[in-house]
Amino acid sequence: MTTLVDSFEQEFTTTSTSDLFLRHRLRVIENIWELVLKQECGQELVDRLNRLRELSSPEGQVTEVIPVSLAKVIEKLDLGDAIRASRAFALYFQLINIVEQHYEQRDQQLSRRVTHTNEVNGKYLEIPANPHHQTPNSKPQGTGTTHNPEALPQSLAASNSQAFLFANNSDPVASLLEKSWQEAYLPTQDKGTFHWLFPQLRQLNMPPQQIQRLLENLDIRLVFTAHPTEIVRQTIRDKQRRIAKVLAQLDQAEADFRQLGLTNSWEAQNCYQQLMEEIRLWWRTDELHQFKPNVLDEVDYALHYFQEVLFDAIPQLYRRLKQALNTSFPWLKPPVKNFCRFGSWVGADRDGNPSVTPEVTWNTACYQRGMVLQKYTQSIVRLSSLLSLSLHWSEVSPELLDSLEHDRNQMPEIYEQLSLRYRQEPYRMKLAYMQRKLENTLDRNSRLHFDPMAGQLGNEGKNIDQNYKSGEEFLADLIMIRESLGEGNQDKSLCCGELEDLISQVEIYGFYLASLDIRQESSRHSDTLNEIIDYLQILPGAYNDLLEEERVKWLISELKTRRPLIPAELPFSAIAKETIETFQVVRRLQQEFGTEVCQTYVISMSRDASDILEVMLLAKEAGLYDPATGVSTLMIAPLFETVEDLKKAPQIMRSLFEIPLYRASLGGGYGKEAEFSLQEVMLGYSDSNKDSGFLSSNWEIHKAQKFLQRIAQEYDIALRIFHGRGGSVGRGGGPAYEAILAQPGRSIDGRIKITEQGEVLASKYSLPELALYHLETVTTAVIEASLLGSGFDDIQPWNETMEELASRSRHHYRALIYEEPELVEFFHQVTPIQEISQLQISSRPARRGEKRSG
Amino acid sequence: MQEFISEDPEENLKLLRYFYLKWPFFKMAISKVEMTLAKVDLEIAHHYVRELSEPEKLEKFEQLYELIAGKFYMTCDIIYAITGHKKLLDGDLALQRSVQLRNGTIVPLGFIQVSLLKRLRQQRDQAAAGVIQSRYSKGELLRGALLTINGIAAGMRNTG
Repeated sequence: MTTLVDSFEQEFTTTSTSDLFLRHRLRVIENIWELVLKQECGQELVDRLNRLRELSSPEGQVTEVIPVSLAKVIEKLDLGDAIRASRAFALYFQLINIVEQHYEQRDQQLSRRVTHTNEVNGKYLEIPANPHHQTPNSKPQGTGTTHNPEALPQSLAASNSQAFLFANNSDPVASLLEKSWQEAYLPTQDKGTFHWLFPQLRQLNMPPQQIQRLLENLDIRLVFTAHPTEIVRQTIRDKQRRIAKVLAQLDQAEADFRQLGLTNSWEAQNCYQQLMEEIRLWWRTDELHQFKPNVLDEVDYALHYFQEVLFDAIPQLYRRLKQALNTSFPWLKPPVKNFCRFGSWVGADRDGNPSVTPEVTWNTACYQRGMVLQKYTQSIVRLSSLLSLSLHWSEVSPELLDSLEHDRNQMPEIYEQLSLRYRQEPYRMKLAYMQRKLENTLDRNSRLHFDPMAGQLGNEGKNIDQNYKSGEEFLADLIMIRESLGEGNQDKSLCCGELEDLISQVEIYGFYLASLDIRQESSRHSDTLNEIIDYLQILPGAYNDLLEEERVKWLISELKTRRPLIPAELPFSAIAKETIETFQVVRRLQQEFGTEVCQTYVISMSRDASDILEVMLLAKEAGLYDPATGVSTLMIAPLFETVEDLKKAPQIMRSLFEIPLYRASLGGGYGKEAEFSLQEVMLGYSDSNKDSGFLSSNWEIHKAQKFLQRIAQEYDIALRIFHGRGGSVGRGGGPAYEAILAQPGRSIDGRIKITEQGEVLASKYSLPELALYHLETVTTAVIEASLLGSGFDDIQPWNETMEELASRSRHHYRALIYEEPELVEFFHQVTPIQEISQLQISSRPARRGEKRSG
Repeated sequence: MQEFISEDPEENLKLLRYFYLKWPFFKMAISKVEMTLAKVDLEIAHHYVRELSEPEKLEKFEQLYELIAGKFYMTCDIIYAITGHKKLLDGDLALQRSVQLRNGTIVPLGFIQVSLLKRLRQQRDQAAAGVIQSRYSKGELLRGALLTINGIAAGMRNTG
């Protein structure tokens, strides 16, 4: 039987040994896939599928003419068979995706291991000539039945394809595998990691002060979004992750038995058996949603990656950076622990999705807080078993003792219950109080979930200290414990990794997990103001009829006054009411969760300065901007999307920076303009691509960034560019590392914000090592791009050439798209676009409002 | 870009190749195009056009297809010229391998999709014309078509 793997093996004659490992795994999984299908549907289906695949060329590329016979066979399939075949192929793809991901992760791990060993030893390790250091007397333990095929489970043994599973030694691939374990991981693949970056910076004689300054500014934000093409059910994601786990066990089992010189082991067989089971259960599971998900379901999907992967993995990122920095520049201070933070649009982005209401946003925040609180509680329980230090053997800081006294007064019932048991174990006593406080906070959170006002009634006044009001309070307790651990030992060196990790997590996730960014379309705000003004009768005509200069003038005067504008009753249309209430919920969120929970308001389709000032006015009405002090707790980020708007962006920002009250609001209010000021600007890749084509869109974004940076610098404002990248190239996707390095020189300066679209979350964040690698790559690219910048962006003749290329390509693109009347109908007919809109994949309507289709 | 190159084939191509080597912005743009091209299969696209176009539109749509295919080949040639690659993605063997591994199975899945879409649309048109032909329910056909979309999405991995 020729398998796909074989045919592509022939394709590449020069393969690395690490490739062989992947191929070996692919063959294993392909055979299991066949076995499952055979058991579930019979040999006939398997034969048919293989025939279909043989009919089409393995390369499937344009040069091959598709055989007519293939089309004939498929035409003849009845519906049931066609569905079975589609499911089988879809399953096949998902399985090889898992194997590839698993392989990438494993590659990362091995490569890290080599790098680490090299660093520790100061040189590359000698690879043992013969890894089979098997002693003659070593008896395998518990493997009595291993290499006996008759001991196989019936279902497996009955198959005629079993040979592949158990005859690793006769497999030429497997014998080469051993080499791949060691050889392939010389640190050549390190590009994009901290261990590559810092030595590189040293080599280039980068001034350490410059590196230090950058590390101090380092601010990376990754914003998760829901996307309609994220169609795989969470149920399936769970199955995928379980299969990845079994694959890891299989690696281990294979490594173990090879070490022992065996050809198989019961552990390995166990893994095969588990894989079979998982895949059979999967085969009988619906892969599509049987209902249309609502927004909170989508929140759940996005949080899944935090729950399963990111939450626990994230402290590693800081550790890796610190360690690598320490090796090359031991005298430099590492950045803050939360240099890389997360945001989310899910449950907060309302642009074009009417189901995201203020209530949904509130619920989302509570849901997120619930998740972190549960995680923190689990950590505290683990810490309690670790920090069993006794007063007999260690000293405790006076602060900790004071706080125990305070807690005793606040929570006497905990004291009653545990004081005897923990008389000599003050850390455990403290952790018990902390656990109770977290649990109380969680209770309060559940109450607030359904009633945002529950916390405002003042009925919690007397036992307020039994809650943590913020992540900072909790963090302060943790830091007190850390300080106390250092007490009394000479070099203050006692520390606890678990505690350090928890501190990192609290610094990154606070009590909110990920910041919620609000996004709304610009016309919603002007329409809302139009209604308000119409009701109040304060302008001679309609607001929407004003010219841009008149709008700006009126908005500024309104922003200066301390008198409120909006009547409490909100006698407006449902849409205007909701727009106003969204600002109110942001205010309420900031009060309850701290400003971090929701501090960015993105305005899509921003075209003029008034678009931003309108949002500022609505924010002022909700108490998010104080006209007396000039302090704003909401960052307003215009989103420029079309090529035309991208061209206007620098001018719009300049006119805003010229307005003193706007300029002051970017810093800490009036009189503090000289201090740190920050402006966020979002650039959209998708719409500019649609209206002008790939090259022109990329070029315009590139230029816009350069100009924006220049203007911000003029006004001494730090700029954070928010890249609205999609998953596919047409929507701005592609490898993150290259993309960041390709940003124009100086435009990053340590700060970046990037969307992580729903459709790519799975490929980046499904496995911890891959997620960390991705985050490390992004961080490395940001540091590299900020410090090294290419300098090629400012060569004038190059820019001119590019300008010309972009304009020609835009012209050609538009000629095809807009001057070809049949093109829309063409796509409608020859692609499954009509059917895609029926996939129940998103809470969002399939198309956005009419205004967007221009 | 073709125009630009043909104005002074030697000099302008040299310039673009230099951009590609030295300018991260340009390199990124070209690599993205290359990645997208590598995932294209014009033969199967042609199959979609032939099978799914309404008969009266077929001729016009064939022309459109030819137009797009022409641009595809032209773009490939430019990419080869600039990058010096002989095959798409020669600069990223892992990605090339990954894409090739999938192509062979995507083809039959694409064919199945076409066949199901065709049946689905036929049935819809017949239903609209009042003809009741109930070999399969619409729901089943739609489910089948959606499964192929799901499968192809998995096969294309992170293309969105």
